Amino acid sequence: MSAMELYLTLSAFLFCLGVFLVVTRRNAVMALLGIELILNAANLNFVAFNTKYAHGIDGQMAALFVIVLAAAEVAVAFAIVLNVYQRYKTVNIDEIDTLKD
Amino acid sequence: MQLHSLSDLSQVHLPVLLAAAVPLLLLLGFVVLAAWGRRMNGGGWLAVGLHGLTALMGFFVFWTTFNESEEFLPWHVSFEWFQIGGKSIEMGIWLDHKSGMMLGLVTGITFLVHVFSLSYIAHDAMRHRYWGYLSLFAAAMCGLVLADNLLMMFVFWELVGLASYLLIGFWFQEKLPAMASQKAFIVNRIADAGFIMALMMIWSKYGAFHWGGLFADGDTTDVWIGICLLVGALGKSAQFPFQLWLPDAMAGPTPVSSLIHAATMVVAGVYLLLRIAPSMDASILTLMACIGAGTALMAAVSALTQTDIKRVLAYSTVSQLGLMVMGIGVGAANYAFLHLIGHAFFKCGLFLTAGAVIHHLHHAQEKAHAHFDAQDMRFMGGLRRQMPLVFVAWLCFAAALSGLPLFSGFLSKDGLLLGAIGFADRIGGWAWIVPGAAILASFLTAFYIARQGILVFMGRNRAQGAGAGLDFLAAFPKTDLRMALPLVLLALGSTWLLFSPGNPLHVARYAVAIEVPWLPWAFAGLALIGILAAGYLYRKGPLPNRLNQFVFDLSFRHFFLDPLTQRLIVRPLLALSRLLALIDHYVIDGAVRLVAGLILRKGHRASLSEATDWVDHHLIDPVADEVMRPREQHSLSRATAWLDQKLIDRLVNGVATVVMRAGKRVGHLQSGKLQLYILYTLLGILLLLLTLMYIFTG
Amino acid sequence: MTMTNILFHAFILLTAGAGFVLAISRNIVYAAFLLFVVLLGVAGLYIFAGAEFLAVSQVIVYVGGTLIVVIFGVMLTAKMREMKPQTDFVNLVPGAMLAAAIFMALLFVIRESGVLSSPGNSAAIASDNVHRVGVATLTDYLLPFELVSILLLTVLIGAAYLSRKTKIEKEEQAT
Repeated sequence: MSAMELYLTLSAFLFCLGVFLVVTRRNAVMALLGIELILNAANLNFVAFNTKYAHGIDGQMAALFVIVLAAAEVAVAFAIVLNVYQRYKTVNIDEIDTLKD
Repeated sequence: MQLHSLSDLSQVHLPVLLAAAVPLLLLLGFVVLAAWGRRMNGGGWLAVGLHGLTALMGFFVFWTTFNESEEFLPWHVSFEWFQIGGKSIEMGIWLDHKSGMMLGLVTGITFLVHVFSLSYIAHDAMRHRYWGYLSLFAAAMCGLVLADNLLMMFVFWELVGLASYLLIGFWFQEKLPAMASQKAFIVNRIADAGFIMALMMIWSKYGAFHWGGLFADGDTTDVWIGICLLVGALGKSAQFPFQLWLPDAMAGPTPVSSLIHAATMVVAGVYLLLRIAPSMDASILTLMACIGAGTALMAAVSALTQTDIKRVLAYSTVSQLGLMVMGIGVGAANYAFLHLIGHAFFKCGLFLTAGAVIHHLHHAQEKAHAHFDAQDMRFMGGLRRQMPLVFVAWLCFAAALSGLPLFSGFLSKDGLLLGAIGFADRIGGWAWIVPGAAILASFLTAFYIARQGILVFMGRNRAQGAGAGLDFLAAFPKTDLRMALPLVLLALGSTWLLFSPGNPLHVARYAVAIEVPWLPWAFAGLALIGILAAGYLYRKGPLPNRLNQFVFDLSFRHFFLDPLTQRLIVRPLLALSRLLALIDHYVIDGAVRLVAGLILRKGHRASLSEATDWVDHHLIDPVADEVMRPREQHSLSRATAWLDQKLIDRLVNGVATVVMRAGKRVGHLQSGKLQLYILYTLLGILLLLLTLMYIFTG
Repeated sequence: MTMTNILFHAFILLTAGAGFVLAISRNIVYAAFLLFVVLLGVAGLYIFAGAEFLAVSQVIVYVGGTLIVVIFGVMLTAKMREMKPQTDFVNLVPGAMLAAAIFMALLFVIRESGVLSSPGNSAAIASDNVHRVGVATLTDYLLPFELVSILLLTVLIGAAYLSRKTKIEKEEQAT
């Protein structure tokens, strides 16, 4: 397999693992780990496609901004998780369903 | 001159910079007052200081433009606002005699109203909002008069509408102001639709909104553009058929009414007409003249019978604005502008005197524990002894409004009436209606304003008749200096001094179509006759109604325009929407439910015949029964009533349960389990992806 | 196979393996450390793709910042008394099937979309990566850069606001 194919396959794999985590884990922290995996999969794609253009930097810049946004996202997400924990005394996503009909 | 960068600002004329700074400063004031007004104890002094500053700036701008000769004007500075479709829209300042004068007027009048408000609104719990709104109002109006293109003008036009809505509904907890503000807003919106249409047509025809690019070349525009612009202006200036909102708009605080009626709201429409009049088709101008004269007469007739002190003035404003619009239509635009300026002074003053009267009556009522409508002129009378200064100021304003010599109204009204006569002379025949209506309106003006004065200030006080005690008049407060100062200044502004300092009887600057030396004196004599007639008729206080009730109501209720619009426009609209709702509810929902019912039935019993049975039983049998049954009163109404009761009710009720059951089943999807949602979403995405793959790879 | 090539494949395997174990791990603390491994692996792969600056950022921001936050989150929300920072699954079978289906679909897309065979304009990797990132940040990407700084400030304030103690909690603690 070429390097490109390896990159893309690994990216797809990480993405699916992330989806799996988000969908199946009851613990909100684990679901957030899944989101991190998904973001990294996207980044890997950006960087991999960037290798096709030696003088292009756009893919790397996009990945850079994704990293920054991921950091911001994690900070807010954990603030919310902590709040939820304080209020409901649990971080299990499927127990927090006050808004259901 | 076009600005490309900030450094270009250094080459701009100082007056233009100051003019641009006025609306910006006022907007800043609005923001500051809105954010911190409450903490600054309302922020009244800040607002007054700010408006004092802008009044000085406005006066400076006015003075420099006024002394500049016409050929060097306008001073025009603009910058690119945005680009659309390769064309750039600009925003800028357009300073010529008109806009300079308007800026001076708006800032000056607003400042005086602010000073007056200091004492008027001093004890209102929401006064911080009041000051902020006033600043927004003034900022919008200044931006409107300075705008160098129609689009920018429209933006500020709407801001003026918004600010007036907020201020009319200032006491929104009460029903009347809340309703009045909505009425003003809605009527203005309807008229603004005309403005928007005009903008669209102008854009498609000229591709620009500029005063310079649009209206300077002297050729006339399309008739429809003219009509649409006229509609917009009529709405803002409360002319027929949009004048309904203005009399109700006095539900707001009285200083606000004075501002709306004098400088910041209704004159916007006249100002727009003044701007566009040079390039309007002759037919549009004729239409303008007719509408203006008609509205002037209608409103003047209505002002005759009002008992509310502010309502008289409100109809008076509509009437005077009608004269201005007529003036523009007949080609006496200069006099219309002059009248606009003069009117701003004396109408603002009249409203402020009314505000002072109401304010004082309220205070006296509180002290003397009397209760009656403090705006009803039937309970006033003899107030000249209690507030002599207000009375003297009122005399100046009333004289100016009636058009007596030595006052501003004499100068401008003559021009308008002479212009109308010249117009009729030019066209002949039916056109004589226009000056006729205008002259009659100005005669009635003198009559109703004299009536107001006699009822309020002359004779004996009638409050005792309304249950006030003997100590009521003694409880009258002294006139506050903050109220007195604006009145004195406005009274000075209502004399000839500001308008024609050299010759009190004639304005040298402008020419009218026809010059008849004795006509102005005839008009003044007519006004005097009106005043004397009012004095004779009302010498013993308010008259009992001796007229036919219908004729009286025609005047008192303004030609039944309110009930008429209610009948002809509002109710049909409501009925139409109700009809549509019914159709939606019964026909469309019914059909959907019928289908749903059929499908579910089919699913339940797994046979089509069951479903048809059901339809047969529930829908067709009852119809058949009813039709077969011999009855003599099978009228249409019975049929519809039956249709409503039997068929539709049964349809709705019968099927609703089925639908509810189905809904519950679908409702399980809404479990509140977040991860299930994600699962479904991803499943959807996956299916989409597969479909795409199938499409693109075969 | 060159040394670089072997290392490259090793990183791929490391990342994929750590990710897989992370996905099925029941211990949340292990999971956090496995995420650390995955992130490092991805950072290594960035270097192979010629994105050195990105790799360093990944290590600093993700491993140094994000992961610490995650571990804090783990420790603050796990019920420490029970000493069982574990988690179980919901929708295990449909979730796994969905993930597998998406993976298959993605593999199919990668194979069939022609992205592998399309030529880039160069295979050589430029060496002045950091320089170019710096220039791009302050020229073409200046606006996003500034926006991101504002966003970070907002997030700082927002996160602090969200996780502050409310009045009621303080009162509860006081009693």
